[in-house]
Amino acid sequence: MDWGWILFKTLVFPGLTFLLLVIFATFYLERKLVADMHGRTGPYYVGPYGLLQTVADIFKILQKEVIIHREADKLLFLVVPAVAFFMVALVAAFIPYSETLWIVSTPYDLVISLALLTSLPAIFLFAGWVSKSKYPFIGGIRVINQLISGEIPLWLAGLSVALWYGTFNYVEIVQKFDLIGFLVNLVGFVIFLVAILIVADRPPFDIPEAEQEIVYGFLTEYTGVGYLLLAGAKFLEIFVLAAMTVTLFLGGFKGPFLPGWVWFLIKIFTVYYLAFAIRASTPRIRLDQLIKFTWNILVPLALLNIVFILVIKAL
Amino acid sequence: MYKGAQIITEPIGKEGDLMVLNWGVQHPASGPMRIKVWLDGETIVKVENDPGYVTRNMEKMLEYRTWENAVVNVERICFIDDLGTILNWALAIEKLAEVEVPKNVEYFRVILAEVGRIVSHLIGVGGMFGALGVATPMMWVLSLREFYLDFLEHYSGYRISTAAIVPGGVRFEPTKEDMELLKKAIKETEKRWPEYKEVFKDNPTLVERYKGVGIIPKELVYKLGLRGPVARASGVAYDYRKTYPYSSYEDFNFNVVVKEEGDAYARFLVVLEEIEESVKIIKQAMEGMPEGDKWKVRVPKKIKAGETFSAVEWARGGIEYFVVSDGGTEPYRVKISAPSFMNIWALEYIAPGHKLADLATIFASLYICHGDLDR
Amino acid sequence: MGFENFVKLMKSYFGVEAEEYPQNHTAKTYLFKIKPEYIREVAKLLKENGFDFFHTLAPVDYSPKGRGLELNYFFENVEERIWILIKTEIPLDNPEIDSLHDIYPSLEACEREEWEKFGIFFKGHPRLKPLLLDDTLQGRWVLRKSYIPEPHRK
Repeated sequence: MDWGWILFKTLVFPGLTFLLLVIFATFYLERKLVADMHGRTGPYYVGPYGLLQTVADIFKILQKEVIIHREADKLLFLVVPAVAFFMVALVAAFIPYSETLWIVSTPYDLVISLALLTSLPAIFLFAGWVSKSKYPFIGGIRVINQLISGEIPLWLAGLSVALWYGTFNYVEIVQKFDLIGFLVNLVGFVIFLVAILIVADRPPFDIPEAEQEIVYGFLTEYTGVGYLLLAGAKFLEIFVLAAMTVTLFLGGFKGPFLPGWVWFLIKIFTVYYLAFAIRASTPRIRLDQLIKFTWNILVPLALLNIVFILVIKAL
Repeated sequence: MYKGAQIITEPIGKEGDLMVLNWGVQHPASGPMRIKVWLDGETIVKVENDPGYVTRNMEKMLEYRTWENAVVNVERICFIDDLGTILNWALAIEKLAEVEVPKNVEYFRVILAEVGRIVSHLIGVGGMFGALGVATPMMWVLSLREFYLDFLEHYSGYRISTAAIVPGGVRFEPTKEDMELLKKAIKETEKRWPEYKEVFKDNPTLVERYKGVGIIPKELVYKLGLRGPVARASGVAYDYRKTYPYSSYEDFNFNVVVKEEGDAYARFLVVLEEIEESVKIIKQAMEGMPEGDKWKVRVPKKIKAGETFSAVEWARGGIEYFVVSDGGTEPYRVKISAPSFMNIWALEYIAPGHKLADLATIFASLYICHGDLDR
Repeated sequence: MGFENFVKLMKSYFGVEAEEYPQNHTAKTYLFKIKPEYIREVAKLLKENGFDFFHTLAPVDYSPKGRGLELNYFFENVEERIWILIKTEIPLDNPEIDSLHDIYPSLEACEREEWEKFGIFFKGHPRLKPLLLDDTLQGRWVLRKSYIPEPHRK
């Protein structure tokens, strides 16, 4: 075993440094793409194409004083963002960027990723709870609402892929990917896309962070490093979920001519673009409407999809 | 303690099983105003308004201004549509001083007032989308509003707070270039409007969120004296422009937009469709502008003693001034009765029973301007 | 008709005649000058005769002219398009008048505002508590003529 190579993978690519870059890139891309749909320019002055604007913003956030509510639990208040960040970063370790470029690969990749993602809302609820403030508290409770509506379609759609390919391992799933697999899993793909928007609190399902209703949800009381870690965790979550979508449904690193990781990033960009376009065009729905939507439409559809895949596989 | 005062001892935080939420003053959607919300889970039990964070005491301020200088204060009642408030001021002063303005001035005032209404309604439409967390419509309408602001800037020198109307006339003679800019703005509006309307009006998520929410029955309009788009969305066809025409509004052919439903979506539609009517009025006024080279009539520095009541249909509803003169160079007393001040109290009646998420949409659909709420 | 009925009743109950009020720029208006103690009865009559839209309450401080506080209530009959202005005068040293908030709920906020700015005590009003003004201005009755803003400027 080459320890140097493992260390490089963990710390540089596709590890920590790359993930930080991903946060920067997601932030920048979101601003630029949404601005384009608004008819604006977006970041422009700082650095070439405004690329350094995000850097400036992040350093601005880092300079801010860390304010802790006097009734808040100080230790937990500071620990929760770090925990959230590392939990998402852990999921990122399973993503295969090419046939050999991954940090961890086990026979149970998919299940572990889904389990880690499902335990995230509990952390966010905790972030709201330990803030000892009203808006974060409501935000935290709303995260649970998000959990009961989003995670089940996510699991069902994700597992339907595993059913079809007969494996939980990401690399094997990608290797077995072909046109038939794509077509069979098309319904699952749509369900998974909607579910990742719900799980990552993206508009139009950004109910736990609904600015016009509850300010910033569980993030309201956080400043400085804590805010950066939590917001970074949210951005990473989008990246991880997009990466999972690409791996499960779009053939991951597979593609002609270009190296695997380039294909991978191109596909992720497509999913990003979709998410940002939805953000720029769709107003937020209400929390009870979300539950109705998921439990009346999304979950039955996901169950039917599993039955459908079982039938196709038996044929 | 002075007579009638009460010490506020209500607990802030919780009350029994209810959570008391301070929705504002520092809140992304509230503006400078506090709304106390009693919450049972996510359901609103009770709402109490607490305005007054941007009070300037305009009525006292005006007692220390001359009749013409007061224009600058009056237009700042709400800067988004400043022209309607100055128009009302000019009408009140002309009534007091018994001055008649020529027809061409009246027509040009109508143009200015309608431009003000369009500018305000565009922001209103964007703001109602903004309450749902999507900023794209706001950006679109702002880019369209820019054309009207170009016209105002070219005419008066300022984009907002134009002081374009003065007692006795308008500030400057409109030039050919001004009119060209206005024509360009109208043309741009008509070009973009079909697309905007399609995107805004039939937006499924917007309909989902606004329809059936915050219903104001017709009786409540009378009970609370609601005005403007809020009243018209509840089936009360009350519009000063049609009911009691002023400044030659009787010459123009336009419809009063009335909806019967009374919900937030109806209020949204009223605001949206009134823009079309305003465009219609501006086009008619530009075509039918009478000849005339007198753009300002002398109004005496001292106005003889007397009182007057004047009202115009402003963007947010009827704005009413009660002006008293004692024969001096400045007003003796001015009472400003603002539409937002009346409309905001509807919130206490209609919000309970809704979800917390609906508070933002109901509040946005009431079309409040904090400037004229507090004055 | 509501308006004619109202004029008749006002004459028989309180002995006041309707006067033309041409100063209203907008609409046809009739003026009634009544004593402050009758305000509730007049308001009830107004409500019964279709004057159900309340516009505004405008007090004027005439103390430099040797008079008291004049209160102007504007009501409208929306169907007949007739406005009525009720004028009444209360002394400045004891500014009290009955509240009309239960007859016209739209007056509740207006009365609260005028209480705050003029110190008019509306008897029976449920929540006479600060509405618009800053705490430092409470109890100074800022719109009275005796309040000069200059000394309070920062």
